[in-house]
Amino acid sequence: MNPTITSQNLKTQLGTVALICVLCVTYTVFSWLGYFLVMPPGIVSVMWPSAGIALAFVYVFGSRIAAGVFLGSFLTHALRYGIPDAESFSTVLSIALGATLHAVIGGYLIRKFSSAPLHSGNLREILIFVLWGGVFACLISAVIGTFSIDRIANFSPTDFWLQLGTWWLGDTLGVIMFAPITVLFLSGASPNSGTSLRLKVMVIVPVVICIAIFAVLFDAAKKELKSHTYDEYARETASLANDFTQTLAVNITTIKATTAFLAATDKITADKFKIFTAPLLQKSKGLYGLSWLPKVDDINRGEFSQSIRDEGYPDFGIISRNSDGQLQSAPKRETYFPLAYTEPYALNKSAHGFDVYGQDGVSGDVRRSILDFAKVINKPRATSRFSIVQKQDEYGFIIYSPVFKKMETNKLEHVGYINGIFVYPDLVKSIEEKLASADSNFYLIELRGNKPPLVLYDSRTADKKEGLIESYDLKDVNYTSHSVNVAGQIWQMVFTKNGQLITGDYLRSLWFFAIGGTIFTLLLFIILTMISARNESVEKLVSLRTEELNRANEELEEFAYRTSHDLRSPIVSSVQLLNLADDAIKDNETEFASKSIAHAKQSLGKLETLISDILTLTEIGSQNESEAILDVAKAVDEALAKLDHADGFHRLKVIKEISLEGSVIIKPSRFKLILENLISNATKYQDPKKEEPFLKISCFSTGNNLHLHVSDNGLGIDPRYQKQMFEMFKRFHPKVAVGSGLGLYLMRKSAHILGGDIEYVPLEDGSLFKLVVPARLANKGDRN
Amino acid sequence: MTLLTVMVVDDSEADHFICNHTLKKHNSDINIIAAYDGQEALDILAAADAHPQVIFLDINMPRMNGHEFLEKYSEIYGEEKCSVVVMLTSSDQENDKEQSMAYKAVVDYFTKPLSVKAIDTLCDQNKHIYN
Repeated sequence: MNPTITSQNLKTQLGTVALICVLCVTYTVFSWLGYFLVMPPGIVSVMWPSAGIALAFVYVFGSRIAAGVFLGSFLTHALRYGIPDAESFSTVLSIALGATLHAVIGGYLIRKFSSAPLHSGNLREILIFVLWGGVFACLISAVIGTFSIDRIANFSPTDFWLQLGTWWLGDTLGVIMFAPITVLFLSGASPNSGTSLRLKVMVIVPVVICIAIFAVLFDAAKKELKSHTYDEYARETASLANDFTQTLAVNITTIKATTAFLAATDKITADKFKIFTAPLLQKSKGLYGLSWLPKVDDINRGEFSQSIRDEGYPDFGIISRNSDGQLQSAPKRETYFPLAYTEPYALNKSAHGFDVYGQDGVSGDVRRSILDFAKVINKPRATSRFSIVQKQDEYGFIIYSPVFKKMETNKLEHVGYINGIFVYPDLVKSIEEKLASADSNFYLIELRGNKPPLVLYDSRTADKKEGLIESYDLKDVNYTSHSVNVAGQIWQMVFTKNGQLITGDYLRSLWFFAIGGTIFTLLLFIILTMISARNESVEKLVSLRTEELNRANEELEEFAYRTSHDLRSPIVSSVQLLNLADDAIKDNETEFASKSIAHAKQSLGKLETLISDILTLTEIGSQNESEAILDVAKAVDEALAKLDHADGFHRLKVIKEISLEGSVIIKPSRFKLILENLISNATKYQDPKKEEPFLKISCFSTGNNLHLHVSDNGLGIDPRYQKQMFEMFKRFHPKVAVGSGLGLYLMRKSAHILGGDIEYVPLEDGSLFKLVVPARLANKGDRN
Repeated sequence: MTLLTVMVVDDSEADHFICNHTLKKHNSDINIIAAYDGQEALDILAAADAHPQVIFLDINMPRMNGHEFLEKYSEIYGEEKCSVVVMLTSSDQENDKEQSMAYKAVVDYFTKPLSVKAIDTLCDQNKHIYN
């Protein structure tokens, strides 16, 4: 096993594990933002940023880190709703699986269809990203997620589609808003991404600010709509509470009026009582019955019962409950307060004759203490909740109002009570009728100091009695509450809002706001990447041009230096040589004189070559040659013919391999310059030791390129100098032939002007020059 | 005092001819080693038993120019007691002069053509050549 490879593997694996952890944590952190943007009814967010984060990570780093999405999704649910129990475990796992599949398949589709990185400023790439990774791939997570939740929630078909749509839209918006920016942020972490820090800052900072503003505005809008709806709801419920308080006030007034009537009436009869109470009962909503409870001492019991029987109630007797709860004739006690008259009689018949002062039954003590208290303070007092005799299956209460009569001695004497009987369902009927239109529920509780409150009525239960204890927890519930004092009892009316505060048009406007914000963010991203990509390319171009200019400048300096030296040097030498020749002629040394002159001639010859090359060079730079038709085979023959008189040319065996049919369109004189120089070099630098020196010229075309290969078995170029061989004034075989050192430089320059390049390939024995230039084959229609 | 063995490094045949003539005027028995570029000079020096007293070095030469030669030469022979180098060039650029005079081995900077008088002055000023 190779230890280097193993350690490399380990490094990669550690990197993957680290990335998975980072993804898991990032996913979880961004889910917080998702919950922040949660949309009523509350299970699904208007936007799920984690979907975008997951897609971006998997797109940038590959599917190998997809486990991070799975763990992140699981962790998010665990943190939000606690560790799932056995029942919901598979649901949470399938949701996590859906999120993972979205990222993997989305990432795959984007890679498959896109051809350039996201930050290249190309609109097509960004659209491919959001369509495949967002609109399409989010269907996967939405479908899997909704089906998983449906298994435990059992949605109605409408709710199912609503849930699916909301999930899909939330994930899609999350991808569109967060994925591109995350990809850009992460792209620096992978090598060769080609994003500069400036590009990142230029795009990421404004987009992040835009997202932050969106989140703040969205939250503010949500709160504003919520508070608006809540205020409306509070107004409606306040009006209901007010109506209820009014009803209670009317009822208490009725009781007080009846009390006053009894106090002022000398001889009360059933008829008088009926006539007086009938209109009052009609006006008092919720008052189940109104009764007169005279004080009857035991010695008067028989006489009293007889007087009532004489008024047309032959079965009348004072009754009370026995220990089994059965009604029977009241046992003997000092004083009785029986229901002597009760209206409406039909409703309250069963309680006729019932002695409220009896301590029997469940509520006997409660009643007696209230009766005594009311008498002491001389004010109507209400009982707590209990089952009244007349309506055993419903909760009710009674208000006792003591009746005092002025005696002749001017002393007030307690003569009995007026009682008002109430059952809660009847009392709250007016509220109950209006609850539906207020989209609300309602319950009424009696506060009892340190004891837990007593539920008097609850609109949410089937029997309208108290419900489950959890239903009175008002956390996360929209409600209003109002207190009222009912003859000494403190009641609290609580209205709880059904469903969400934000519904209908408000909900739609929030969705539009979210969609609008997302599209705006995407447009901002597109525009910013386009601008910065353009800036980047302009900058690259500028730096490229600057570099070219600097190179050209250096070349120019070198050129000026070398020409000044190379032009001056042969002249200085020639002058000296001619001086020597002059002296020699004076001394009659003709041989030395002619040697000197020969050297002078050689120096001046060099000068001439140099000047001619310099002229060619300046022409190359200034000439703007146009393209023309060139017969390559003919050009090769002409170039060979031109060098026919050069030294050593005839030693060379010339091999031609021209596989081009017809002509090409090219700048002819530049091409010819290269061709002639290559042939001339092969001639000049042939190896004199070789018995069969050769020069091979091959020419062919591939696609739109013209290839010219010139090879020989000559002296070649020492590997040490190959690097600088195309530079100015470089000569490698000074003794072999005279030259300016500009030939190869001129060739390369010409190749560049032709739009191609020339390269040197050292052969084992000799050289090969390869020229590639773009040139299209001439058609018949092309004119010279 | 006269020079006995010198090396002339120059790519121009004509300059070699002029140098030979001038050096022969200084000492008709002088031994002149000719090299046509820096690389050739290094090759000859590497193969020789004894180094010449003076190396006359041109700057602009193919393959290896005067500056490159000085760099290599100092690298190879820097610590040894070896030849003194005299620049002999047609360049009168300050840059070239400064760059070459920076080397310990270089004692003078002549512009072409070489004269007998310059050689004599060189000999007078650099007595250590003979040690």
